[in-house]
Amino acid sequence: MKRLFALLLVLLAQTTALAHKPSDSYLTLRGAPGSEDITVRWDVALRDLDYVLELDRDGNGALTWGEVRQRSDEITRYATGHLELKTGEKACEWETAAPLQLDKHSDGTYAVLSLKARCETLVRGLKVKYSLLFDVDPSHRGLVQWVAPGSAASQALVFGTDSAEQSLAMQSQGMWQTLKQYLVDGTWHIWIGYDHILFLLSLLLPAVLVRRAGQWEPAPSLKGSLLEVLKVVTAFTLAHSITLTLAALGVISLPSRLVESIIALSVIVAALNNLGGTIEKRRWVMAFVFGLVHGFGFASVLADLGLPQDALVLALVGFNLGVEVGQLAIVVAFVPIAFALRRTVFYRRGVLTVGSSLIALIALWWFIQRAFDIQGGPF
Amino acid sequence: MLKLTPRFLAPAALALACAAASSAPFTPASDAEVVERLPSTAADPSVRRVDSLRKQLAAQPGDVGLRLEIARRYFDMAMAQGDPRYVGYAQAAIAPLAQSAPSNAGYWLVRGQIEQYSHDFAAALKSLTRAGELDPKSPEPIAWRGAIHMVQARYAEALSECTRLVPLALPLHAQGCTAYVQASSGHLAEAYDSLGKELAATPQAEPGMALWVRTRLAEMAIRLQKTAEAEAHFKAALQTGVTDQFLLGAYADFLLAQKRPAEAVTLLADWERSDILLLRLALAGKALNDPRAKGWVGQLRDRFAAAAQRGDRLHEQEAARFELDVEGQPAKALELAARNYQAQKEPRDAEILMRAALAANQAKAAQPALDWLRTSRYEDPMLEGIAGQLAAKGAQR
Repeated sequence: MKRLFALLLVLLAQTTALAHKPSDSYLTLRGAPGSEDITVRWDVALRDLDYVLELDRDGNGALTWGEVRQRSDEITRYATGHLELKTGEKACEWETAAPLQLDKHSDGTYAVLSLKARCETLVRGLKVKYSLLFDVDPSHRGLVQWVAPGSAASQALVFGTDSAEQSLAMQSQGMWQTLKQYLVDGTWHIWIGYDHILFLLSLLLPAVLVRRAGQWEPAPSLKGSLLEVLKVVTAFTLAHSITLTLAALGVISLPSRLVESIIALSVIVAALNNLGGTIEKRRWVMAFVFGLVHGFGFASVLADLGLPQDALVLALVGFNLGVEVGQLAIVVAFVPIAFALRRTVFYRRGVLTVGSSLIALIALWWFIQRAFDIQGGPF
Repeated sequence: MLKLTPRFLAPAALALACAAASSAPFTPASDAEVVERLPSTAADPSVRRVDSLRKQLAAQPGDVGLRLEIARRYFDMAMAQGDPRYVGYAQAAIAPLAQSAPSNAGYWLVRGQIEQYSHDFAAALKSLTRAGELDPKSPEPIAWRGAIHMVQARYAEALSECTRLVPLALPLHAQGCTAYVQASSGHLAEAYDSLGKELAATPQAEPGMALWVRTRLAEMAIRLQKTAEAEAHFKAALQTGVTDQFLLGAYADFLLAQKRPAEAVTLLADWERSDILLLRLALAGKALNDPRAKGWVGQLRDRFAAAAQRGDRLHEQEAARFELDVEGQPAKALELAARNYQAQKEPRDAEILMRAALAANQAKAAQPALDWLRTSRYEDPMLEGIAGQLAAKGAQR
């Protein structure tokens, strides 16, 4: 107590007297044009590694190269366990590029890790989550030099406990590259987004039929059916493009639970309409109205993927085009088969009635799940 | 120095090395080669003790007392050795207590100490107030609050903390606190006399405390232009046998001002690891045309660059002095000194701001320091001299 108090008084005039450097690690992350890999050089102070891994096994305070070298794998595991590189939602995989080496910095010797991060794609940018030593020394910092693929200059970033997660800016990719990537994403999304497919199918199922006196009858001509399909698809596309754009640009935003619930509801309404036939001629109106909501759904997917700030419009156009391509693929596959089968009882009963009922049931479950926030379930 | 043989393993490593700010990595020739001297050696009992406490904590992570003990020990080590890593370790040790022991006075005291170390003075004052409320008999939160008020040149507040110390602390402690404040606010001669008498009346003073008092007396003697007495106080402080960077820095500054750089170099031998002392070494080396000066300057440049890279604002006073006196860059020095003065307003902070403003020919930039000098009635012929030159160039005295 007395000793501490004296120390404290010394401090009265000593608040500025810092002697050593605080703990930092130095990272160089480097991308290469045409490659999805990031080369990483990571310098971590031996002193810090010793603090967490007890490298100095004999405890004599003199750390030998043998004591470090023999623990190379452990050091690498520890380090890579505290650095995550992510593209979109997918973490890049670590690989050791060269054996561990050493380097001298102004405050001591550092282990030099040569690593490679194998990423799926860099088009959407790179997110870095750094957590080395934060649990034992919150004043630790990760000093990053980031060299984007194709860039000559490097960008400096500091990772600390309150800035542990940051995005690395990408040198603007080739325009075509960005467009292509988002086009693929858009297509993929409509293919795995069953709710969009089922909504569209529900609206398209009756396109090869006409309603006469409360009964479905085969449409007389392919031309009429195609016109019907065209109206529905165009209305849907126009509507979701509008809201997708507005939401992606941050003009409007809606709570995702509301959006997802209404999307499920839209599928129910569209499917039930095929049974009761409330809206017969103007299905395109329904496609448009609900399409507006589906656009918000696409926008949230796009937000999860991440938008490159320097190529926002390009990414948006690419994603939207991708959605259309996916949609078109469904139409191209669906229309000829439906048209050929339109005269059969199987189509009118089996596909239209039973299919629509099933779709409505599935969508009802989605609706309950989304509106009441229930996890799990059969779909 | 360690002997190391650089060798390049692969062209890839070489290419990478060129990209990094530092030099090329190397692989030591043999496993037996010592590559780093760790500060924690088996011979150091304080390190051994805290290591064993850490092991205990791993077994009982919920032990509040153990966490505080570890944090206190780390903080003591940081103060003694000037190593900021220990502050980080202390911070990590007490982190869970914010949830588990929010009404523990010890927790708030350590937290306040850590916050002041990071120059988060407002938060530190709050935490220390909380510590004082929870344990009104403890002198520590009060003294720490006094220290923070001093750094921010709030002398009335500092003095009232000293008064509150009187019934709780030893007379020399309370007197030291008061004299320190008075010497900064227009009562230099009285403060010097009374503190000297109090020290003489306390021959059994604990060495750390004696060192602190002697250093303060030396500084006051310099300002009173009693050079011989200043030297005697410094020598007596060194003889306490307690290692203290601040004392070494103050004495080195005195030797430099007395144009005795060779003695400064001798004094600071083996203190290169301390930024503030390395700065004095570089200044002395430069004055002597010592061949080692170039190396010292290079090391300092690296360290300030590293601090700037990490966004560290704790070294700005030293960085400003480096730019002004070593690099000869008054404009850069002024920028640093002005920014530093927003956070810290000790006499040394005012001095570097005034000197940089004068050198950069921007007298008005020193106005905040001149205002402080006038309103505080701080007595120092050296500062008065600079203030006079600044006034001649258009600043308001």
